[in-house]
This record gives sequence, C-alpha cells and structure tokens, in this order.
Amino acid sequence: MTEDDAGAIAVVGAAHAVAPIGDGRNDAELLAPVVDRALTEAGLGRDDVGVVCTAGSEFLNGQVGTVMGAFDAFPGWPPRTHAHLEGDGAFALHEAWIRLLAGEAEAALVCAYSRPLADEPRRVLDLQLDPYVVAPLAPRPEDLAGLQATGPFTASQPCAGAAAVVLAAAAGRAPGRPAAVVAGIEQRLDTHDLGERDLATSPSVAAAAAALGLPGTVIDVLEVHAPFSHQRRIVVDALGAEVRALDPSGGCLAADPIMVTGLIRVVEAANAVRRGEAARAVAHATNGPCLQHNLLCLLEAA
Amino acid sequence: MNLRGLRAPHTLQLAFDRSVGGATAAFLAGLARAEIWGGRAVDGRIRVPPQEGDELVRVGDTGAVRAWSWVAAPAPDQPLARPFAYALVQLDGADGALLHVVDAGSEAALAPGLRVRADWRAERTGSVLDIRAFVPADAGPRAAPADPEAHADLEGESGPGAQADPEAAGAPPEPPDGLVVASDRVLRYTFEPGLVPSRFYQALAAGRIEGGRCPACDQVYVPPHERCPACGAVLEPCAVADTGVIESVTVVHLPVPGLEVELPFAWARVRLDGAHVSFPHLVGDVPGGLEEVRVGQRVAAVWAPAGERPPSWEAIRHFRPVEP
Repeated sequence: MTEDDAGAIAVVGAAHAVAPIGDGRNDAELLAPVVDRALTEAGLGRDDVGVVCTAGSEFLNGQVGTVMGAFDAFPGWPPRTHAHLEGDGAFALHEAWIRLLAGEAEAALVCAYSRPLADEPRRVLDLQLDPYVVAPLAPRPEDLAGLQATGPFTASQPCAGAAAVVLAAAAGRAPGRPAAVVAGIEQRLDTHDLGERDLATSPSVAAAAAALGLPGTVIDVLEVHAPFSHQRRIVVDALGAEVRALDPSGGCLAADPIMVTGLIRVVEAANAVRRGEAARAVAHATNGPCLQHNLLCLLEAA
Repeated sequence: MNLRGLRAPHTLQLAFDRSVGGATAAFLAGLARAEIWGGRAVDGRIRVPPQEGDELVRVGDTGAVRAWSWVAAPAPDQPLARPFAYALVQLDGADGALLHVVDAGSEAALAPGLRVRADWRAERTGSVLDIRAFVPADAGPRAAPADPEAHADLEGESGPGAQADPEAAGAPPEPPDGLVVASDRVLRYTFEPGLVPSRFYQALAAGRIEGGRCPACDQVYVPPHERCPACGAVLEPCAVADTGVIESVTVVHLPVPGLEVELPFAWARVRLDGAHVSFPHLVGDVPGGLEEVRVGQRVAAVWAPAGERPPSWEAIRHFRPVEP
C-alpha cells in the first residue's frame, strides 16, 4: 500500500440531520433518509456498499440491541460486512477507512444515530467512568468539564440526530461526483485517571495532529467536537496549526446528538472540501470525560 | 413535538457488585484503615490511586486543591447534601492528584493551592466514600481516627496525617477477600417505538393487524418496518389476516423475567396468511395439551375483548389452533 493508494479513498457522500428529542421517530426512521441522501450524493446504490460500519449507544434510548432497530436504514441484504461500535460515528469511520485500505471493499457506508431518551440525556456518559473510585462520587459530565475550565463555560444541547458518510476507493466512485480525499485518520487516548492529566492541554490531540503532520501547516476548515465551550480552545491549541475557519458549521453547542456529533464534524469538514470551500479540512471527534479520547480526520481536495 | 408516535416510561437498572483486585483493592483497603496509598509508577511518579504494577507508597491525607468544579445544587445521589466542589487534590507526597470532593462551605473559600485534609468517616468499608470529603486544613481540630482496630496491626505512625515516608508508613494494606464496589444505577427513559411501530400497535388496539408491503419486491412484513429490510424501499401499509400457520414452537416450563404468563406456555413463531415473515406469540386453547402444538398447525388470533386492547401485542391474547 503506497501513500497514493491511501489517498485514493475519499468521502463521496455525507449527510446529517438533527431533531428534537422525542419527536416520535425511531432510529431507523431518523437514519434512513440521511443514508438515502449520502448514497444519492455519491451516485451509489445500496448494493455498491461492501462494508457498513455503524455507531450509537444502547444507553441513549435504554434498549438492548438498539442497532437491530436501525438495520432497515442501511443495506444489510444480501449479507455483507457490518461492524457496530458502541461510541461516536467518527470512530466507526476510522474502522471503515481501514477496511477499505485493506481492500475489503470498494465502498463503505458509515452511519450513526442518536435518540437520547433518558431523563438526563448526558448522564448516560457517566457509565464510562471508572466504577471503583470515580463513579461512587457521582460527578456529572458538567462537573468534570468544570475541572478543566478556567472560567464560565457553556454546555452543548443534547438532541436526536443521525449522520451518514459514504467512503469509496478510486474504483468504487461514480464519475463526476465531488470527493474529499481522506488523507489520514489518527486517534489517541489520554489516561482515564483525571488526576494524572494536565486538563488544560490535550496531549492526545497533539499526538494525533503530529501523526498527521498538522503542526505548522495551514488548515482551511477545522470542525471541533467540543461538548463544552472551553474545550474548543484546548483542541485548537493542541493542533499547532494555523486555522483559517474554525467551526464554520456553527459547531456542536446548539445541537449535540451524542454519539453522532463527531461524525457530523466529518460530514461538515468533508462537505466544505467537496463544495470547494476548503482545500484542506480537519474534523475532530472526542469521547470520554474532559476530551480523554480524540480522533482527527484530515480531508483534502481531490 | 411528537409526530403521533406512542411513548411509554422505561427503566433500566444497572446493579452490580464489582469485585476488586490488585492495586485498586489495596487502595480501597487502605481507605478502610484511614490511610491513603498511592503507587510509584515505572517513571518514578507517585499517583493516587495506584495502578497495576506500581510499587505501593503511602501518601499523606493532606494536600492542595489543584482544580475544582463547584456544585451549587447537589443531586440526591451526590456525596454531600450542601453545596460542595469536585476537586483534584494533590496529596502530600504524590505527584498526581486524586479526584474527590471538597466541603468548604462556599465557593469563595476555594482557591488554587488551598490546603485541605481528609475528613474520615467513623464507619469505613473500603470505599472511596470512606473519605467523607476533604475540608480546609484549618477547619477546626482533626477528629481522632475512629475504628482504631482497623490499623492496630501497624507499627510506627499511621492513620490520619501520616506523610509519604515508606519507613513510617507501615505495611501496605492487605485487601480482604470478597471486597466489592457496589453500584446500583437507575436510568429512566421515555421510550418511543417509532412512527411505523406506533401505527402498528394502534391498529392492534383497534382489532386489526397491519403489515407493510414492499412496492419493489412485494414482500409483506408483520410487524411492518419503515423500509424494506431487503431492498430499502419505503413500505406501504396493508391489511393482513389474523389467521396463519405456526413456523416453529417451543413449550416453555421455566419462568421468563418480565413475561407474566402461566407456566408452561407454548411460544410459537406465527406467519400470518399473506405475510412473508413470522413473529413470536403465545399459543393457547390447545385440545390435548400444549405438547400437541405442531409446526404447520393453522392458528387464529384470540383477541382481547374490544375496549380491553392495549396498543401492544397484548391486544391479541394468544393464537388458537383451527382446522385447515
């Protein structure tokens, strides 16, 4: 696999939708029209998709096997490779990209869905905390974010939503469709032990950025997944790059479909490239308390 | 806004007794003795709690606040009833910080570097909550360590106030067998099955079974979906008969959690006339007993009386055998 081969995989379709919590639709009903749009943009049919990677969380709506309920929204028959991730869709994108790099298929569909139906939607994230020495203290995500903030901050507004991204290798693309080449995806993780971290910085973002060669370069568009307003500056600082447009989509504070929000950053960054508004765009996605786990996706004009 | 879907309360309870081992068990056993033990990592840093592979090192139960987050209106499940702070406390002798709570009365009392000490509970069980809270170090006299038997086996200085001095620290705590961290998390939801399922359940309440027909591949699904699982086309609602055939059956003699039905019962997959897929339901009114139910048996729905049909599968009480 050469660098050129890696660069040949591109986003050729990307769509998302957000909705109020409790509008009556289920995951499949939210996701299906979004998948339709992404495939239509790509000029591909369901049968062209060789790999499906999905993401979401069962705890958001409290149903075991939530993904089964979303199946109708994406191609599943005849059977093909399907991997499901309990997490944000951006991390499922990483898996789909690697599967295409490995030559498993020529096109992949990545989708994520979110219906946070719990009384306190964001609190399902508490279940990620260390159950022995942190969870018994019952800190809320906002409380942990407050340890990181040096002043007042704004928390994002959870909502429902869905996103879909179609990735295709050169041989899997329909002609004449705008594409954003995936130049690289890197993810890094900081320790789960909050007391061992310098929360004012993000070594994991910096390490991912270094692996992508971002420090000292110019990024036309950066889309940041920062559920708490102060985290955006931490991510930007850790990138070490000159950012021309930060969150031109408006960012995720006003609408945060938990477990979809990171993939929406990829949708927004890729579409900025596909519309010709950016030659080089970066999408950031995060998971865990205080930006513990971070992914960066570098997208470039074809 | 609700686009005419059903909704219902739904509760998820996650109750666990998590067994504890290794470094975490030593840390918790130390807390039961009113001692805080950290770990010296391979890079020489001392962190609290210790991680696997660390050399256990006693640290002080006093330290400095490194960062905090003020909780103005504590929830019932949070450690303190009055306003408090979550804080990263760098204990004396440690390089890293411990996440815990600080009971300082008001946010104005907090400052970076504020000296605090552990306020130990009298009754300690080997839990991170054995420290009630960290309190400002000048906040009145230190209480005598309660439960002296818990660390009577130690030599030298021990208990509250001990510093990070291995010579004076005593022996690392030996975790008791069966140490667990209990959690009982309840998550409450307002569940929505979706628009197409809501329509299906509302039809059941009206005494009708509604399927979904695929305009592209002509398959009929019961219950209906929004999309054809095979080809992705949007399904069209269609009426389906309440008679059909048993595709498979199991006679169940063991209780099923959440299923209130008299034992034994016959659980069958029923494919209705005109439908291409089956769904599970009960079989009853079987002359000769449940063991007589056979694959291929024709059945008909036994509906709950009109007015007693909920918008759910329970609108149909069961299916009964009928002649071919």
